[in-house]
Amino acid sequence: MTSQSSLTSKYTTGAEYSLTSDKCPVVLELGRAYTKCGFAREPSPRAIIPSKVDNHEIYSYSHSSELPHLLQDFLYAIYYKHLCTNPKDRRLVVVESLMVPLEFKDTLATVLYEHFEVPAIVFVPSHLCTLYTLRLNTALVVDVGFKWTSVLPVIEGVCNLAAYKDIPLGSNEIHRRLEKFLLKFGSVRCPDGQTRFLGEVNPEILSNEDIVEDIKVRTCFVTPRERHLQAQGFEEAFCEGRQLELPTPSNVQYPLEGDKVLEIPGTLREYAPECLFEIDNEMESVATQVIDALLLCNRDSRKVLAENIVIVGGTAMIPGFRRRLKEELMALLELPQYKKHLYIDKFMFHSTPCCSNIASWLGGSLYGSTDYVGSQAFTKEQFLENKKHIPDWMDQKWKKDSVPGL
Amino acid sequence: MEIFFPKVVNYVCTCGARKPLDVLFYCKHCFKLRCGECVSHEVDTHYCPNCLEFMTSPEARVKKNVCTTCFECPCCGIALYSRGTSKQVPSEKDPSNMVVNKAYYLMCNSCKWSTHDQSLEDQPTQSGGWPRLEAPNQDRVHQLCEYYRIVAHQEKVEKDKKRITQKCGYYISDKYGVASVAAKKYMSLQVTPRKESQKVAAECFASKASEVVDDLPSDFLEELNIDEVTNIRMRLSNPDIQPEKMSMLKMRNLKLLTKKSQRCKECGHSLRKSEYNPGSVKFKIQLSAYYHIPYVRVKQVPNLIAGREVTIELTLTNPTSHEVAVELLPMEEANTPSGSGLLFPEVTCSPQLPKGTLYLPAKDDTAEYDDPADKMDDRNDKSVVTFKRLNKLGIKMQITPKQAENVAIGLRLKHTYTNLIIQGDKREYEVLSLIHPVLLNLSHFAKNSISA
Repeated sequence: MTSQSSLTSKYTTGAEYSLTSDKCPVVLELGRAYTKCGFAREPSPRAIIPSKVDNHEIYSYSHSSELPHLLQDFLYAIYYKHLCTNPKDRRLVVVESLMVPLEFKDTLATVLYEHFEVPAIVFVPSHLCTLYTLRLNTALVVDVGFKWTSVLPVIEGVCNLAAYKDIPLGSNEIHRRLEKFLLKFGSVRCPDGQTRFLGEVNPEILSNEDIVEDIKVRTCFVTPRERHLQAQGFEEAFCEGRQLELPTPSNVQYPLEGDKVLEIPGTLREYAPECLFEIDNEMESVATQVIDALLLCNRDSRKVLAENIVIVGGTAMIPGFRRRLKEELMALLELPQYKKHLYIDKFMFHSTPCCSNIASWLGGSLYGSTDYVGSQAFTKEQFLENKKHIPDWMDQKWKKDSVPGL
Repeated sequence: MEIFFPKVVNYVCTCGARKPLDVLFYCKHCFKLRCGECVSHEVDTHYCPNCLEFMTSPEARVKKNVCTTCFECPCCGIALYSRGTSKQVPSEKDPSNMVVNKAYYLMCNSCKWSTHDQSLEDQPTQSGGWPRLEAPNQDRVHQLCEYYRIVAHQEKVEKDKKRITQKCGYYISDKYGVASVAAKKYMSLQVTPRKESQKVAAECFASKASEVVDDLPSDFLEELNIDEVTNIRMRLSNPDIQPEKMSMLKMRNLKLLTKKSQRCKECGHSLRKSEYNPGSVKFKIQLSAYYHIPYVRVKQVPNLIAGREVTIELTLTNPTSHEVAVELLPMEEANTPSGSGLLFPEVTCSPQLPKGTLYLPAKDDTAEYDDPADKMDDRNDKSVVTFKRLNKLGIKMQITPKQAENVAIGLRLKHTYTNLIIQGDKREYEVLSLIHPVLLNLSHFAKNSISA
């Protein structure tokens, strides 16, 4: 975890920077797995909550008529329970992922304007506003989220959409792999003293995402590339129960349902997050996305981008992720298909002033503290005039109104 | 009560939602039903759920919506309690003499986490005195904030300058007093940001990239005790540091809760407003529909068989202190913009509703202690009314279900409503006629009849 080591919190009674009487805008980032909400000018969100209403994820709705109700309930909890503020009083900054469906965005805006009577909303793309936290204009932003990993180069404050790359790899994939292998190989010590496989005891138990997530968060790590190479054929060895000649990480005793103990195989702890870096059938992984995005960029900008990589997203907080990504990138450079085109000899990384899962939120918070909110926000009247449609951030309307190169 | 038979009788709110009567509001000013989804909610006051301290909104905003004296457990999120210890220390005046020193620390009653785990010093007073947790990165965030504010301000100035010079053209004539306005605006743009913020912003440097990245902790192969690692909930409850180890947990101030008031979106009048005192559960204004609209309940439903006519029994209750005349109208006649009937697709059966008006006596709180012998009101149709008791009336009607399951009937409840108008010293009563569509789901009663 990046900035983690440098973050030592302190208790002080010193200057209170947010001691202002004016009403700062609300900043909201509706992530795939977790939603961050808080106020502009503040260094961290007030609350990070799962993006769920009664165990129903807000992004996975079966019919579009369901969505307004889901959002209504969800935003009600955000405004009245977590932020304790009247939605009418404050403008809103929504930090949005680039690939959010238009339907979702329009529904969100309709609910906010009509039901909650929010005076004005401004949508900011998450990759772009991450750069505010670093005071940068040019960087290659790698967002490793729950469902997707996306890479977007930002050059002098302008998103280079042509070089956008994404791949459905993220925490979700790690969860699936953990679930699959735990059911097969996780042994459970039952209260009667016997040891059985998890699949025999209760195969349904892992369908509760929380347990798998907890196991991932508390035990998994991304192994260094060196170990990964030594353990080629990892999966076969693992499935056959063969011992690799490497020292394996220790097994973990995980308490389950109050009376059982699940033994998580040590090899699985490093094997599960491997899915991010394994080359799939289309010869792609998280690392190839970064290199491919660089290749899609202008020749002149490649070196600058490679020396300004920003990694954000919750999944990037798994210990060892950054080290591995860097190692993978360096290894890819040696491959003939990249070596010929890329004249890069090093990759350099920025570390955000906060944990990487709230980096884009913090960018939104900084954006929300400026006058831009006033000049770029979309009011309810404009929204109704525009036939209840929020102009996409990359279409002409947005371009016309926005100020390039912050 | 509705608690025991949920969703048997649903009233249709003005917004179209189907809700039981006891969760609906009744706006006295528009004479319409309102539900939780079509009123505007407002945060009234803030209070601490632990010490019940009352706080006004501006005060809560300054304090970032947290209580300054109460703290929450970083493990389980409940309030921490203060505990006292006494220690013998040498006296200040005379080191050879030992004095008993009282000290206090905070502890969680549930998981036994205490301030000692965070290695905080014990406090000499029972409450308060604990330092406030601040974000480790707040200096940097403050610098960035000021920097971007200045950038945004400068851009705005440039933009407006352009606009003004374009507008003004070649010369400014003061004939119409325009020039002074324009000049004023021009002057206002010259305002430079405060010295301090400029100073802070000047310290804000761009982040430096480095080739060194965070490494995997070297002990990754070693034994891992799951009890020493925090779970995701504990990490996310402290977004600033998101501690990974139990030993890194830090307590945070307890978050405030709010009291909310509801307001009608159409006329802007309050529908419900609670008292400011956090300890009180009373209301200053409470316009629940339960106190104003006649309450329909299902008393008896025999076994429902498709195609066979059966008699069901309903009761009507008048909650107001005025007599109410009720008419039950069929749903189909409803003049809806999209034609008839279609508005309520859940209605599967149409009842033979009693014709004529039913009179419900006013609610009389003292009548409960009187002789229960109730006289029938002669105006009511005796073939319809089954019984009468105080302000409650039982009525029967025939239905012929088309299917045995999912039997739902709909009716429109037309009733009089006595509205009190106070103008100065004059008190006038105005009798209005209101209609509310009501949906009754009889399937709950299909197995056995229950008396309401």
